[in-house]
Amino acid sequence: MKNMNKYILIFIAFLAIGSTVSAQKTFYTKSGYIGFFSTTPLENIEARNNQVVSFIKTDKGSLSFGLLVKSFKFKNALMEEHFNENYAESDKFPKAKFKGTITNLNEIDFDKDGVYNAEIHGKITFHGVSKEVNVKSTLTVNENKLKGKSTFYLKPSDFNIDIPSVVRAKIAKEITINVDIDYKIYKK
Amino acid sequence: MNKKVKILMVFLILGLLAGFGAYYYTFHKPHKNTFNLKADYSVKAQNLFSNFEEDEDKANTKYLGKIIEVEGKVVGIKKFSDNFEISLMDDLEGVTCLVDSNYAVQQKAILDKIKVDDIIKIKGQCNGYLMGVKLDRCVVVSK
Repeated sequence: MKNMNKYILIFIAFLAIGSTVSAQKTFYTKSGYIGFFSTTPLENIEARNNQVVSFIKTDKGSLSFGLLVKSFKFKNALMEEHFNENYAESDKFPKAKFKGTITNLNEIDFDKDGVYNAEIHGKITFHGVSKEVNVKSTLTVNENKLKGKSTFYLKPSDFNIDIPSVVRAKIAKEITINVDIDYKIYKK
Repeated sequence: MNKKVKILMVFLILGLLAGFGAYYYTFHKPHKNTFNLKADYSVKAQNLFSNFEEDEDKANTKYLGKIIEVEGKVVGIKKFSDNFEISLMDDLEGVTCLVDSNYAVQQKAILDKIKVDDIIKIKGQCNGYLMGVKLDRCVVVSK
């Protein structure tokens, strides 16, 4: 694990060099946004994370997301405490990640400005549990910038998160996840 | 008898008020203010990064959720939706400090003056290691 970042970077750097030859591009960000929402008649809960790392490689349409669970910020201090200590257990599981591929890659042209609907299949790992998901997203290509947006739903129970009965009415069965990322082209 | 009832009533009301106050405070307590928090550790950006690079689990145990005051050279400043993101040491393999909007408003004057290559001291909560070390709820200590 220790030199993981470095190896990933070297690997990506090689891919980036390769991209000047072929049309392949790597997009990245280290300050992407992922937020989640829980809405019930009793209470609305919202958390925002502005430190999301993400890469998209256009040749195979592979994409990855990584985030630190402690970077989720709540308006209410007690909720943030409960989220970290009781539900996400962020000391034990500090990271969440997603690895996947764009399944309709042939419909997307990263060299041509436009708005594309991307279908993504991949695996989310959170709270030490991995789950396969299919997600729809919108990709906006504008010169050498890329914007990715998506909304999808996850169940806490799928990630082995036990919600005590006292607060069950306050936490939605399905949590809304919003993704909003501004990518830059990767060059080092 | 009447007096006893009155005293009892007063205590009951006081008890209810205290109970409600405690309840309200617990559920609506404010976030800790980084300005008032004493740093658990004071380190150079280079050392903080190496600690994580060498042994992430060990560094997590030491730093995760703690308040860290870190000193380093600014390599990047980015502003997005009222937040300021200051990168120290290296854009990807360094320490990234997020000055969240409420602190950014309070420190606007000092933040506007920070330039690349400045050596600054910044204090915030350590969230862990992912393409560098991440801090947030940061405030600038000195420039």
